[in-house]
Amino acid sequence: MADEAPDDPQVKALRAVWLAMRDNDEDPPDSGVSALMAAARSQAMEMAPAPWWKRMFDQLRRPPVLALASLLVLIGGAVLLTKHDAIEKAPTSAPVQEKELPHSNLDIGGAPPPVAPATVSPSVVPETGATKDKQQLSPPPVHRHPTEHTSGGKGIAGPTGSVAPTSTPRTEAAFETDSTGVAPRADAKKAAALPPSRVLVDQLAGQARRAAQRGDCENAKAIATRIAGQDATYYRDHVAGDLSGCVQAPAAADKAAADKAR
Amino acid sequence: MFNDQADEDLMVMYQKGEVRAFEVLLSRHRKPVFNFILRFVGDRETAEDLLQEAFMRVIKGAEAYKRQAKFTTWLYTIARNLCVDQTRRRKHRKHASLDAPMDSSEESGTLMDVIPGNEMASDRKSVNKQLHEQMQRAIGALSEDQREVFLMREFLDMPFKQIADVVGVPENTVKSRMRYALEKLRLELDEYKDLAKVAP
Repeated sequence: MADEAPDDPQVKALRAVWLAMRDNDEDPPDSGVSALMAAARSQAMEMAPAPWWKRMFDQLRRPPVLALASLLVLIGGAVLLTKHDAIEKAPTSAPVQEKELPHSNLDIGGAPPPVAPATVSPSVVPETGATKDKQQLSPPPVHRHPTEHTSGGKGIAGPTGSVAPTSTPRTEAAFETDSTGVAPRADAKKAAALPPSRVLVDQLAGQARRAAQRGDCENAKAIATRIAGQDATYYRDHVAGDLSGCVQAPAAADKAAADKAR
Repeated sequence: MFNDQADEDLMVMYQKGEVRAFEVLLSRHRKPVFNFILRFVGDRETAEDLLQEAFMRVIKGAEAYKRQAKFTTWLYTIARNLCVDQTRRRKHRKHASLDAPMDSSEESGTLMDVIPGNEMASDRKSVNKQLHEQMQRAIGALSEDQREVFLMREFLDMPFKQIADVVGVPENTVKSRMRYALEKLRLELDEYKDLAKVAP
């Protein structure tokens, strides 16, 4: 009590008086105790920790958790919609891919046929008068089948510089575009109208022609054998002639090598 | 088990739903808080009401209580605020106090002097009683700021720092108020200094 003048004898005497007064402190009445305890009990029940499931439920009702749940639902919905779209798109390309699979092992020797965007576009563009004129101006292919043509022709450079075939038969173009997943509706309908065995034979013929173009005569002959097994008439009418070009290719290569040596 | 616990621990236990902890707190602090209020307001009936209200506020505010806060600081802050509110209300009503002088002149007596009572006895008990009454009157005459500081310091043995927390002023202000309170009491009870010296 340094701040309270402890040396003052009068203050000391007075302090003795109020210290004695402390001994005479009164007791408060007990009347209010029961009311206080009742209030304390009800408050204690409110404050008591809730069971774990209630606490968890309260946690889940908090705004951040609700926001996270909403976000998850949105992401899940987007994923489902994306998958649904992919499933809806699948039937247009899947049958062709499935049909190509059984004999795709025949193309093992060579690289897959280059499918430049320029080769796809002509088949997508509907046949107009201008395109008909172009087809008339270009060298006439050896047509053995209304939907087929010989694939020995050289391509012409397109406006983008890419090499495009001079004339792309509609059926083959349809198959080529099908393999890229972009099939024109008219060609797809036409292909769908053909019997399955014919579609397969057409497809095989296309592959044989491409193999012949690459100079992969082994594969071309193997495919041709398979075509002959499937449809001998078709092979004789439409495919046999194309294979003669394949036989000639190595001879031409030998001639070129001999010229170089000279 | 509960009687050995600190106030703060008991309060935390009560927060967890332990009613017995609150019961111990009530039995521990009811009497000192009641006497603090009684000396502050000077009226027993009002003191009982305020005591009840103070503990009701403790119950209602228990959920928000933080372990870091000293329980007695919180409790006496509630009690002190109730007393301050009560004295302000009483000032507005201008009720006549038994301890207040009947007229403005300092020589006039109080209502307590007029009310018939026991004749002043010559024995020590009577002297003490007279001294206590005079002391109570002198404390009641202190200003509100000085009275609350004096009561907390001398009757509750609170450190100045805690008093400063309860009252909400700097510690030096509390010390200053205490000094003025003692000086005023010394002047008020000057005529009883001889009696105080013989008192036990």
